[in-house]
Parts: sequence; structure tokens; C-alpha cells
Amino acid sequence: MTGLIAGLFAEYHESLVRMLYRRTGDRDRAEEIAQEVFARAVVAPPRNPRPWLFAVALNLVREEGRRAARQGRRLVLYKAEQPEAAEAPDEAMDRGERIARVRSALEGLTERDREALLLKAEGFSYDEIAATLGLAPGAVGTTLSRARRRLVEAYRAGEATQHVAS
Amino acid sequence: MSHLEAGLIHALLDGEIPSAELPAIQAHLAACADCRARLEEESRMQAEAGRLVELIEVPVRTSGSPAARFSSGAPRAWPRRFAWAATLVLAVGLGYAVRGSRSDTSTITPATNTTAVASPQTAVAAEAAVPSPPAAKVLASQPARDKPVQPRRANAAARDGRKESAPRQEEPKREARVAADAAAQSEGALGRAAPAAPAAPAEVATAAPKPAPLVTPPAPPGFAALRAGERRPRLDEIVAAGAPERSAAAKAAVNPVPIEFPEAVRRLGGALRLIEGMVPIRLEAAGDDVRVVYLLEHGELVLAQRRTEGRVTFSLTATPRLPADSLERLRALVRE
Repeated sequence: MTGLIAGLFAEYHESLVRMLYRRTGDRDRAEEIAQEVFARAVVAPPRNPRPWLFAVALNLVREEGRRAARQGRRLVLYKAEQPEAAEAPDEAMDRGERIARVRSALEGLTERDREALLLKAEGFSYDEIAATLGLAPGAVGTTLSRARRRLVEAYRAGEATQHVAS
Repeated sequence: MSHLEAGLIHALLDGEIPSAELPAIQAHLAACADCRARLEEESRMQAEAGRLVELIEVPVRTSGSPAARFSSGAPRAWPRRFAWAATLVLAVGLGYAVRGSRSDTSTITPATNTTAVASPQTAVAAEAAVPSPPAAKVLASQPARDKPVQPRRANAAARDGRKESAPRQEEPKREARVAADAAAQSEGALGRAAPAAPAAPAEVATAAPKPAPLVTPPAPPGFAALRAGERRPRLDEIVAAGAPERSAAAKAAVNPVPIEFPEAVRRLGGALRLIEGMVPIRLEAAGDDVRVVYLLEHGELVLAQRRTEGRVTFSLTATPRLPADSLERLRALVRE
């Protein structure tokens, strides 16, 4: 039982935190949510663990978002991306800008599109994405094709604005 | 057949189309230039969207004691929280001065020690017909201390592609480009059989007097295929017409077949080995070998393993070649 959860933790924790970080932009929050997810897994061990873990995590993010919205707080708090110490300043700047543009492009997607993209980035199969998000398996390809296109287009639009501005 | 919908094209690109349905789609693609163009276009979307998402990486914690943070987690899981550590191991192994904080590098040492304890019984096959020149192999328990490769200018091909998939290591990566070597320059060479490496360390000799040869099949052509991950068919497989020619040597070698995790575990009798802290891009079967493939800055790291007489042996191969001590540190992170 504990062994099962330890196994799940070893297998999915890193991936879960990464997905949550991409979703929230806040590493501490990502790790807290991940801890909460595994705590719930201890109480009710999931049968299909990966979709279960990620679905619970995304639910927690959404709940938090709704709570924050009710309280009139800003939904997502972006912390400054920490550039690597070894990175040259201008490269770090460039990288930071690109990440900010990706984040803003991601924010522009619908919740479902964004979640499908983030799950795919963690190596989820279509069946797993469908199970996690409660989609029909046949709808995943369409969701991903739309999400990818919108992400890329929003990113490119941000890039163009950037160039005009500078 | 009517034109392919975007959703279907993405399912195709993501390797989600059952093989029984492929022929009809291929036939349509062969006949329809519009759909071929859209496939190309959607393939770019798919690749670019993937790169963009991967730009966002969990930031490295630079302050605070790593030990203090680990203590709150599950005991076995801590190295996984530092996927970057494996990358850092590479960087250190390649002989860069790491200009980051000391605490970063110090986390590597316990990881290495732990593995040594964790898998003392591990036997590692030596190589007989390995790809050359790129393959650098590390043998179990061998305190390999080869010199890092001499920095030299890699050609333009070596700096293709990867820039965005692991951008946090920008600085070391630039130097890694310098250190990157011949393998990246010619994929054709991968299929060629090479003379057996002379390495035969004492400990391995006692553990495995007859080193079992592991044939390492050629890497798939092109970085797109490297990046793509699990079951994604390459464009040249989907669009049968006009597929790039592969070298005769590559065709002759055992073609790796993508497999799923449970299948890999089954083939190895329940003991698949992985590299702690790294995320494989795909699993393959090639002959008797199960290959766990990881992405490196400029190529792939292949953890090939096979089960013979109830024992699982493994070998670690990187293309392009890494210094032996870097490989050895990665080898120390191999976990069952």
C-alpha cells in the first residue's frame, strides 16, 4: 500500500510537478498541489493512476482558480523565471521573454485545450488524455490540433508585437 | 476517402492511429497533394507547440539546503526531483567549470553512491558489434576515467534543433556543441559494425567472462524523429512516396520497434531499468534487446537491456560519444 504510493510518487511526481508548474507558473504551488494529490492517493488508491493523479491535480488548480476569482485576486501569480547562473545575461533575457510569451499564449487557450497540451507534453496517450479530462477519445486529436495551432499562432503574434515595439 | 481532418492528422502524427487504419490514410495521402501539404504543416505545428511548452521548465532551486527539502518527500523519490541533475552530470563530465552554486553539484555524489549500493549484482554486457565511431560504452563497475573529449568545433548539423528543448543548459550546451563529435555528423555511420572495443576491466571479466554482444541498432534518421517521442511514425513512414533513402547498412541492422512500458517490462521479466531522474523519449525492442532511449543535447542515450538465462544485462550507449566518466555517472543512476 505504502509501497504502491511510493512507486507512484517515484514514477509520476516529477512529471506532475512539471505539468503543474507549466500550468500555474509557481513552483512552490506546484509542489504543494502535487503533495496534496499524493496525499489523496494514499486515502483512495487509484486504479488507473496516471490519469487519476493528473485529473485530481488539474481539479485542484481549477478550484483554486475559482476561489481566487471569487476573492478578486489575480488568478495566476507569475514569478520571475530564474535564469541559470551560467547563462549570459542577454541570453537569459531572451529566454525569459520567450517563456513569458509562451505563458501568455497558453493563458489565451481554453482550459481544455491548455490541459490537453500540458498532458501531451508529459507523454500522455490520447486514451489517457481522454480519461483525465473526461473527453471522448475521438475528440482528443481535434482538441490537440486546435490547441497546438492556437498556441503557435498566439506565440507568433506575441513575437510580432515584440518586434514592432522594439 | 474525403480529406483528412486536422484531428486525424494530429492523431497520425502522435502515433495514435491503429495500424489497421493506416493503409487507407496512406493511400489518400499518396493521392492528395493538399493533404500531404497539410500533414507537413500540422507536423510543424505539432513540433513547434511541443517545443514551446517544453521551454517552460521547473526552475532550479538555488537557495536552501536540498537535503532539507528531500527530507519531506518519499525516501526513494528524491533524485527524481532533480531531473536537471542528470544534465548537470553531463555538463560536469564534459569538463566545464560549472559556475552555479556548489550545492547543485554536491547532490550528484550521493546519487552515485546510492546506485552503487542499489545494484551491486548488476552485470553489464560488453560490446562486440557496437556502432562506431560514436558509441562510448561504460561497463559495470568499471572506474572509467577516460579523458574528456578534446573540445573541437562541431559542424552545423550538430547544433541543429535542440536549442529549445533544453534551453536551461544554454551555456554548457554551447560548449557541448564544441565537444560534440563525429556521431552527429554522420548518421549513416551508425549502422556500421565496429571492431570490438578493447576495454576489458578486471571486475567485469570476473562477473561476465563471456561478454554478451549487444547489437545496437541505428538511431532513426533525423532530429525530428529523435524529438518526437514514443510511437510517432515519421513523416517518411506516413508518406510512403518520396521517403528518404536509408543506407543499406541501416536497413540491414535490426530495426527497433516501438513498444509500450508494460511490454518492455514483460520482455525483461519484470525488471525494466531506467535512469533515475531522466525521462525516456521512447521504448523500443530490437531483437532481444529492450532499448530505453533518452534524449541528450545532440543525440540519444540508449539503455539497452536484455534477459538471458534469468539475468538482465544492460549497456549504455550515447551518440554522439560522451566522455567515459560522464557515461559512468549516468550508469550509476540506472535503477531497476
